[in-house]
Amino acid sequence: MAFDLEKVEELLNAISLDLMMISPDNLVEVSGVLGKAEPLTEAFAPLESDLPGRVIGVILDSLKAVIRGQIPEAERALGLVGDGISMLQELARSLPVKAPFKGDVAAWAASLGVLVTAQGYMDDELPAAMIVAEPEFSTLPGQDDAPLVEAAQDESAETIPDFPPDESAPEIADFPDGDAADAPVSEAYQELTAPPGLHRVGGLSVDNFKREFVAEVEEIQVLLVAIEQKSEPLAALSELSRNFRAILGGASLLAQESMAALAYNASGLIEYVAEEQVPYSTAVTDILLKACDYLLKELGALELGPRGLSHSGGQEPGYQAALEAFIDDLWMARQGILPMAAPAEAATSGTAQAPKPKKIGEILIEKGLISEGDLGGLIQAQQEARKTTLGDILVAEKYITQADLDEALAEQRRSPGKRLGEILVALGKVDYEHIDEAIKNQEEKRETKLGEFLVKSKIGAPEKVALALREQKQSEGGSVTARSGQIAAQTVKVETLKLDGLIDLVGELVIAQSLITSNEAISCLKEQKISKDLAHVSRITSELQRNAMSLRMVQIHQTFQKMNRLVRDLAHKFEKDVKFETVGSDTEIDRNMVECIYDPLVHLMRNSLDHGLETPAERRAAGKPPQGTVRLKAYHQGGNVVIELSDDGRGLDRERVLNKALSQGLVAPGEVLSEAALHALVFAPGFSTAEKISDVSGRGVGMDVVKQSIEKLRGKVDFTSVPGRGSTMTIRLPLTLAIIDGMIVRVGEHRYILPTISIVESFRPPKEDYFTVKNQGEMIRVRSRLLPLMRLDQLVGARGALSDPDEALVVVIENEGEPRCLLVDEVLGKQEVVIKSLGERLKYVRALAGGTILGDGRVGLILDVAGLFEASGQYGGGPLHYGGASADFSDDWGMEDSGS
Amino acid sequence: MTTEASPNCPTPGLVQDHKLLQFELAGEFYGVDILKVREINGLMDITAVPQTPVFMKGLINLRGKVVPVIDLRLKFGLEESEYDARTSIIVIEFKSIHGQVQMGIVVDAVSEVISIPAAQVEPAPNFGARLKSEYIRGMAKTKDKVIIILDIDLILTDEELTFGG
Repeated sequence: MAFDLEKVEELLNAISLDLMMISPDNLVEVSGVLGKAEPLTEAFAPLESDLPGRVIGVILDSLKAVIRGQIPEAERALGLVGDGISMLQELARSLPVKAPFKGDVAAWAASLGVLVTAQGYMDDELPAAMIVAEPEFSTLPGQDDAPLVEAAQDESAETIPDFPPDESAPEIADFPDGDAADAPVSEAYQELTAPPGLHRVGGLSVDNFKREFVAEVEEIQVLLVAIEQKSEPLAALSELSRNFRAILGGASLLAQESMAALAYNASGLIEYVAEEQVPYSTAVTDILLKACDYLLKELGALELGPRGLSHSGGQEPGYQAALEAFIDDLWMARQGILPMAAPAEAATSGTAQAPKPKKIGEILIEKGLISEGDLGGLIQAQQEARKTTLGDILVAEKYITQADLDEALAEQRRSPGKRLGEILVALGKVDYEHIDEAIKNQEEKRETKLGEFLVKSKIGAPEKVALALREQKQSEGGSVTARSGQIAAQTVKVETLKLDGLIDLVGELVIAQSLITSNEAISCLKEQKISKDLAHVSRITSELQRNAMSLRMVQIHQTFQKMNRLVRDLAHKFEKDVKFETVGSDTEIDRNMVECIYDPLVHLMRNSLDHGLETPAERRAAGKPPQGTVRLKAYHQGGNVVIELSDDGRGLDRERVLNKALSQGLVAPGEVLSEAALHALVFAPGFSTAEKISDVSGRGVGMDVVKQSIEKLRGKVDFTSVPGRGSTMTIRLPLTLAIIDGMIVRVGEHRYILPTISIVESFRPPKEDYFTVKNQGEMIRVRSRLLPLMRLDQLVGARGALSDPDEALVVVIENEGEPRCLLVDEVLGKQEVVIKSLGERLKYVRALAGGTILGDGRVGLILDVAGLFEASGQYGGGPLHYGGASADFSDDWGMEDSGS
Repeated sequence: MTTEASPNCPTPGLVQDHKLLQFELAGEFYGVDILKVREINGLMDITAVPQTPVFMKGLINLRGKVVPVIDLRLKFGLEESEYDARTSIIVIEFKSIHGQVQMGIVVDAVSEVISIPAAQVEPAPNFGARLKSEYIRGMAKTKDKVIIILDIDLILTDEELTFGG
């Protein structure tokens, strides 16, 4: 292949434009540049000089070092990379004509090398290209407009040995497969995927990439739904395209061909929609959302194994095939053939009111770089170039005749879904090679941006276009920051470990402070100044503690946004018309809780949409507006976070619930149920009233699981419903997972903390209420019910505890609705304690939920009520010593409630 | 400070001079790698934990962190002794599959930090059942005594120490 000066210059110009505008801490942008720079190696290969190879090698290494955060002076490094690009520009011009090259590559490489080595590169780790570059190039037949994707495909086969064989590169366009074999293995991927030095690569960037890209994909989803609901203008689509491009860059860097293909085709589709070549419709949103799903799945599967970057196996069977099929669909959508026959909705109404970023053309005219007439002509030419169809090109290139084309088009109409190229080849009119060439030709024309067009047609000098582009970017950036400034508060990302450390220390400070104030030597001082100062200190420390605790809190906003997407999909699926409202999305909730409530919420949401809401027709018949409303509401109430999910659907069908409960034996015939009891039935295990079981809800393994997971968070879930008017699920959660409201109980010389939420009451029973049931253990009568008695001293192996229930104290505790009595010596008081993990070693100790630091600085142990029940049930109240002493009574208690 | 790796060096990882924290346990001298030692504390309040073996003494509060403590005498099957003013808790910090882990060990007394040249370290003889020989990285001979160098990571990551499972 001959050296294509024009193409190389174009590539270099694009890169230098990017370099001028990116910020070094935006990994996504930098990786985009890296993606663009990769094909340079191949582009320069025909020159048969090792100089460009060296320069490119250094550039690639430096970019990678920037991405990994190895260069503290990243800004300067990027500047130097820019110098390298200009050097390449010079080389590209001088080498083919054998003109002498004046640049000093060695000095330049050295100055970059210093920057890189400054950050602790050991000599042997220094990327090879920094010292001596000896890249071996072979030519790649037919470079195309998707080099990133292709490069990524090629690499995987060679450098990721533990890739499952079925992960073979999906076909992205009509590339003949033969090309893949002789593509060069770029050092970039080898370095990323080869074992040595990997953890560093992984530790720094793979995780970062994952995090950033997951955030990116989530952003895309939110925007997509917003555009569909017209709360964002259609013009925002172009922003999406940028997001997908960024993902493309990163995916190519990490040699993730499926992700790259997804992102590549998605961004292509968006561009076409933005240019109105493909009509915007829900089908577009659907397919893009699906692309997001796949991207997230792929990202999730991405992990750093001992041998390099790999996919964790264990994807469900058929996943790979589904993914490939989907990529094909996406590709077709991109070509304007949407796989689903969707009615094209004209959704342009939202476009007008949006403050659009200035177009590059307008800026150029303002700057007097081109005249308005020029611009008109150019845009027309650009549009025309974009509209060129594959057939036209083939005809223009004289590969086929117009008659052939008509024949093929007719054939395509008969069997839609088949690609024009395939048909032509099948008809024997043309061979693959020519089609391939034509497709590249076509893509090239479509991708041309106005600026590039200007430069190409020699009207605007590249520098001036760059200036104009920068201005455009600024005006966009300005509006973006203004917008986000109002919505999002400024944030700092902090490692959780550091945060927890800070919170621990603040807790210690509070304890130390209380130790001082309660010190007798100090408390007996009559000096007023000291007590005043101490009071001041304690005010500050408690404020500090409150602040530290608030660091753990995040707004529930994001969870709500994800629900938005879910509602949209579900409404679609169940053919329901739903309006989704959120209230109080700025309510704060413990950071660790956010993830735990997501699944239960999804479940409730599904129930609500599937069973709660009626179809538009049913709603009309019931005299309600056809559009149903689902409202998600969050607020704080007395130390709790309350999340309410309400709909205005049909409500709970009493008859059906009762019948079902009767048939499952949950309710005795003739039993009269209170409203609350009826609603509580919904949470019974295995209970489902759904007549038709859909794939998302109604399998009867739902609500009890929801209830359990909420209870695991020490929360409660309630259900209320008004027939015909709708139902409401109320989830009540503690403000934070970190603090537990506890009662300190003493048994013997030990103190334990019992979570207040599981305590029903406590009393000292009279002698006549204590029973020993033969072979059943001990019982306490509590208001005409006999409850089994557990002795805490036996359960934890404490010595010196009171053994007589009428001297000691009985605490009634409840677990999953089952009450039991716990015998302790006394209740010392109530305290809010910060839960601390006991560490890996002790996490299997069943009777304990965790540890805490008590007011006197000692470690206190928090009892796990479920664990106590389990232990006493299993051991028949025997002690829980390690290697335990013998149990006195070995039967389990099977006769609760029998005394009533 | 690196010495040449001699070909007859018995145990890998013993090619360098050892800086050890030396402590006493039932009249014997033991050493642990000083880099593993986070801090040394006098005796402090230990909260006993139910359902754990006897050598697991309980939990201490290390500036807001809950740290488990092991009595090394009991762990090694030595005779239990009363804690006194010399009894110390050495807090060991090491990396495990669960990340950075801190654990305390109760010893009779902490004596000093010593530097042992690699040449003076010999492989562990077989001790029989009482102390697993894989717990021992080597024996160091000084002028007047023998120091048993412990592989403290191994002792503290021993499966036996995951309780209640």
